[in-house]
Amino acid sequence: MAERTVEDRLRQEYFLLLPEARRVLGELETKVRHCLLPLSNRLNKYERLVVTSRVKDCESALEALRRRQEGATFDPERGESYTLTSLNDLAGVRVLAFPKGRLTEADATLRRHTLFSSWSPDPVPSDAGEEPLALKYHGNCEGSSKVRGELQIVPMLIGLFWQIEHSAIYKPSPELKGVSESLEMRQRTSDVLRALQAFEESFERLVQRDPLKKSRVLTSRASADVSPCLDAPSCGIRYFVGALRNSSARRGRNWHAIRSSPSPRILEPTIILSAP
Amino acid sequence: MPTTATKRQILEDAGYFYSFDRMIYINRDARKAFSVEFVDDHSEGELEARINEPAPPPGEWGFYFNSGPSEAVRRELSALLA
Repeated sequence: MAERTVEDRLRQEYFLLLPEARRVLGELETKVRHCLLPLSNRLNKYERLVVTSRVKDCESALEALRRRQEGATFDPERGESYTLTSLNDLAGVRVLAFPKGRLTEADATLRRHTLFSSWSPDPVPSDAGEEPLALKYHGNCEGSSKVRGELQIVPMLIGLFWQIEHSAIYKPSPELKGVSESLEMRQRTSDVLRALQAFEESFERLVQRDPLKKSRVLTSRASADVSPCLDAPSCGIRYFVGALRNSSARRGRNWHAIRSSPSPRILEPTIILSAP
Repeated sequence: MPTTATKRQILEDAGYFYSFDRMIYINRDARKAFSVEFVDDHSEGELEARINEPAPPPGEWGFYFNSGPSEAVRRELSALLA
């Protein structure tokens, strides 16, 4: 019988690890969302804090491990030494933040959490050698001692560029990932990222310097206070925050009535908090 | 970034092409392969010096890696590049 290839052994390992990776992802995403909820509710209208998550798929995981070997080739004679548990990002959560000020806040908030305070920082360096392009941490969750989780905190525009690049090119063809490591593509990518950084910095600077800012920027989610919903047993919603404090929720109307309210001030936070 | 651009130019001028599957720069005539890691970690001068080294014996390939590839990896890559 033909000997199993390194790739086949790793595919088997992947499916053995998958339940743990999913547990890690569930725990990680829940904790990140929980930590960031107060900050999310303080955002100005033009600001964004988006949490996305994924378990790396099997072929992408294999490709990532293969690309880590010099010459992107597994040595069949030391096949047993390769393991997908050496990847930091089998289970990963990405926080996209805009503008940069919110990224810094999100990072500080998450780093204060017990789980993340002990994680190893692994920032994504920029080619220009200045501040990192994005912040990255990895470590273990309660869900698994084998599968590590990765937390990325990324400027929104850079994160969206990575997302587009990934879904347009690398998701359908993971084997093309090596293209991005060529000197030529690294230079092009660096150009794009620098342009996005400059765009974001200029945008933030202009917003910060606008002398009429206070009267123009909406702050409808000014408060992050949490209040219990008076109708929790019947409507299934446990908490309201912010703008809802002064709304009819405090006077005993249930969530369903509020949801149908035409007022955006009421609608927005209601939707955010309606997750059980 | 200027270093990256210079190294790219050195490799291009010497007839090297990038193989994205193995992440190596290869020149079939010279039968030499440079890993991306090697290119990153060595200066332009060193890169030029290795490019100008005599070609390996006929039928063989010269692999310029940070940590020399094992026999099995050499065999696999040589078969792929032949």
